[in-house]
Amino acid sequence: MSIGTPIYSLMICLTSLAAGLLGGILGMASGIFIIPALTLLFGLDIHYAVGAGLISVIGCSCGSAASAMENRLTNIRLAILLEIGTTLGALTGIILSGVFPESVLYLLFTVILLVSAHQMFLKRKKDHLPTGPESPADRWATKLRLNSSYPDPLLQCDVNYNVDRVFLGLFLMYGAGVVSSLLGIGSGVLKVPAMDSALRLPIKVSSATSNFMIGVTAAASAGVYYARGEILTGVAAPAALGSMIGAFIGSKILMRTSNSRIRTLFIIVLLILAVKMFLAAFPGKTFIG
Amino acid sequence: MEKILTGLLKYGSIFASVWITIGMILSMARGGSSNDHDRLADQLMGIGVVLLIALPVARVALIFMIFLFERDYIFAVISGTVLLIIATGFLAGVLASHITLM
Repeated sequence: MSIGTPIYSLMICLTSLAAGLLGGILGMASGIFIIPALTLLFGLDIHYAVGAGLISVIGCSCGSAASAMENRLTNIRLAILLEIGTTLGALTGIILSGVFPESVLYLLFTVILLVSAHQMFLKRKKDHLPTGPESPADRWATKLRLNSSYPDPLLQCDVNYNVDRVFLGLFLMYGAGVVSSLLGIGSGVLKVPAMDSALRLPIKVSSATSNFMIGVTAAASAGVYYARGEILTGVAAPAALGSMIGAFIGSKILMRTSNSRIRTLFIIVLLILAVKMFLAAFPGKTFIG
Repeated sequence: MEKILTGLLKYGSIFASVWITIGMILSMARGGSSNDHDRLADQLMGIGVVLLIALPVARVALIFMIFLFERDYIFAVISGTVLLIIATGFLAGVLASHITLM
């Protein structure tokens, strides 16, 4: 199968659809499954896989950001402020991607997979914990009017929330931007906990806001990759289409089921992928299928 | 503000995926089993990819204009900065590719 043939495109589209479906069900970006699929299954150079991953991340993020905004969960002011951090990080990541050898990218990806597995494990435990007390507001957050509210369907009223430690948040977002452009993922796995712990946002707000930022971050780096001719249309276009459809279907399933057994299954999948990617970092010693 | 942005995101991503779908169907219909690259199909899919990249940037540009309109100058500057960072990166990328081509 050579790149660009119709069959190849169709295979990539279907694989991405599966990846998007997985991501959508779990409520995370599809990039984390698409990159391993493209590199391990299709044997694609990781740099090209990253380009295709970024395009599909944009597609998924645009689709889900729209529905989150309809529910007034996204804090647009905060998102745009933090995007300064993520876009700067994205540009740094692009410079680094020229310097780092491939094996470093594989190893970094392994770490991200392990972090995601760990997070899914934590999520499983504290699913039914009530939200904590209102956090104090940062002086800057008040000045920039970042504090806001969101509608809670259970309480049937608007819940106010404050934004804490804006500068720490900006710094962490910079790091997330670097990882995102290096690995072609949305790095929502890094953004959401960063916003939880630094800014102390309600979980729904932080995931909606992170989703909103992911598209812009990915576009900042995808633009550069595109300008350098490192985005293969024959790979990126079907990957984006497949993952968008998959994510759409997946998000519908997520609304109906949130089973802890499914989570356990996916933790195992993530761990297997982590091992695979780790082995792929040393192509000399192991055989990669 | 939410309404305009939601519309842009929703219809923008649908529009982009329609281009990609047409391109893929065309490449299937024309050369199902042969190995040649279909230029037209590639270009159609390329349009979809470019649209997807442009969509989030358009979103920031829209936010920038809304903040200007609302005379919220601090946030106009913040969103303008984001646009500037993205544009700088893109131009640097274009320049870098030209240098390597020459």
